[in-house]
Amino acid sequence: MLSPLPLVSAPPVAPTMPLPAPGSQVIWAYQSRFQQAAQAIANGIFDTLDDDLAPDVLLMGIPVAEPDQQNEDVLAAVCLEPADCGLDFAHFGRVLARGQEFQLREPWGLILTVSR
Amino acid sequence: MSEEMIRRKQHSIGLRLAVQEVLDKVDSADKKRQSFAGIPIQIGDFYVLTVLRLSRKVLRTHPALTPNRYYTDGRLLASSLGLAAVLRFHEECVKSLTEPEPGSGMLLRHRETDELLRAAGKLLMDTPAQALGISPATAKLFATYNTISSLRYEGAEGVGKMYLAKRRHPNLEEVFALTCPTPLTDYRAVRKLLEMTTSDVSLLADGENVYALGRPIGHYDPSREDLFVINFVTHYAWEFQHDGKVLMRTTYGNPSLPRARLNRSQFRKDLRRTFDLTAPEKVERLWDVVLEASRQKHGTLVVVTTEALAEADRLKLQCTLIEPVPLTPLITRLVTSIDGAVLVDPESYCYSIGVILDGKASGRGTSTRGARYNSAIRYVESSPYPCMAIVVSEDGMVDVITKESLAEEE
Repeated sequence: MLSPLPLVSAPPVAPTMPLPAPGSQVIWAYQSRFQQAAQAIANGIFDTLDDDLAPDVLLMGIPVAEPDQQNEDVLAAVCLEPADCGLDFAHFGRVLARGQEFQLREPWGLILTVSR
Repeated sequence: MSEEMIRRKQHSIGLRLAVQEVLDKVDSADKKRQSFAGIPIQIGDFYVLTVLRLSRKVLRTHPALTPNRYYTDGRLLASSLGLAAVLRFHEECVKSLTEPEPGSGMLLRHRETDELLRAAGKLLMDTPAQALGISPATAKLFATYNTISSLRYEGAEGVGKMYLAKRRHPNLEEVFALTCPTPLTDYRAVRKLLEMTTSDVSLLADGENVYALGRPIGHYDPSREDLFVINFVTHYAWEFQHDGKVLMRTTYGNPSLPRARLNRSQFRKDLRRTFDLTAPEKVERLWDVVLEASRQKHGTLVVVTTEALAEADRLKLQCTLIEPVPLTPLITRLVTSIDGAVLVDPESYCYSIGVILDGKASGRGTSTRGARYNSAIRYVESSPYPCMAIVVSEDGMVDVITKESLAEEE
């Protein structure tokens, strides 16, 4: 009869967490991994379509406003990943207020009754 | 859907529109990139969203339908395969961000690229369905055409066109109609009907049934966007066209963007670099020759060299010499239909046809490409004169080889 094979296992390896880039805003631990994965998927899709589309994925964060919060400086959007995305986030100061305007302007009645 | 969910959904869509508005403004100043915002998802104290940025110039080189059109339920319709892919990409990101551990799905269980592209192709085919008044949920045009194109009839591949429009479209004329329209999902029957089509008589379908055989008439106003063409090219390959422009080419069920076989500005640049040729009429004449050659179904090889006459004489035992003649599209079509290269000078004069090129083998050839491509590389490299080879492969690829382009590759 064959003797049972000895059980050999690889030494335990601790999962390595990517360190957030200095100066970047951290919301959740996997944000940089998520951005990298999204970038890889975008590369896969758009390089297949056309090599020259050069996809670029940014992760952007807009602070949730408290109901009585009006200070626009505090509410400025930030780039989460990658830290050097090259977009000037000063332009996004009013997005929350503008979003509300859009929300009021859309013909929701029609859309939400038809949508599945 | 609960009241709270509806409110959250409305808020997200409103915020996405606001972000997109700012991105559009930034892009219009920058002009290099075009940005697309995804739906924001609340994570902790932030609304998090992905922004995808693509080269604006490249995106615009691909044909598209009118942008910013919507389904009856308010979702954005895809106006091109590129946009459909963007929508699918954002869908994937949102799905992943809404998980209990945001983004973990993207890391561990993301969908394959091919799968996402097929999903994008399906999404693009919802646009004609919507234009024909069919619910995109029931149309399934993408899968239908894949299946029809994959079928053989008596061993032959399906080649022909199908017009997609509502019945009695003013730009379509029926040659004869079927008493009982054949459903598109009756794949074998449709494939059989496709066998009857010719270069000017095609199948007419309304998105659900094939109802007649007919042909286009009059001048179609492209802004109507209600007349589409499905062109079955070869076995398991079809194109989705509108107004003569190919919006998507699908091969073996995988959608792709049609690539320009030749780049005009690049060709002009190559001519300037190799022959110092800038005279517009000479450049135009050569461009016409090359364009006609690139349409040759079985592939061909055109060599432009300053010493075409001397080379024709040197290679006279392995070619057919002809009296020098300036190439016109008609002559080009004739002389490129036989095997071997066509020798032309920068003035578009042809001296010999069916030339078997020579040259010294170098390290630059590649076994993944055919004999034509490799012999062109050999010839261009060994030639002591300024020369350029235009290789048209049987599979539709067009390569322009010059000494400079070979040096650049190194």
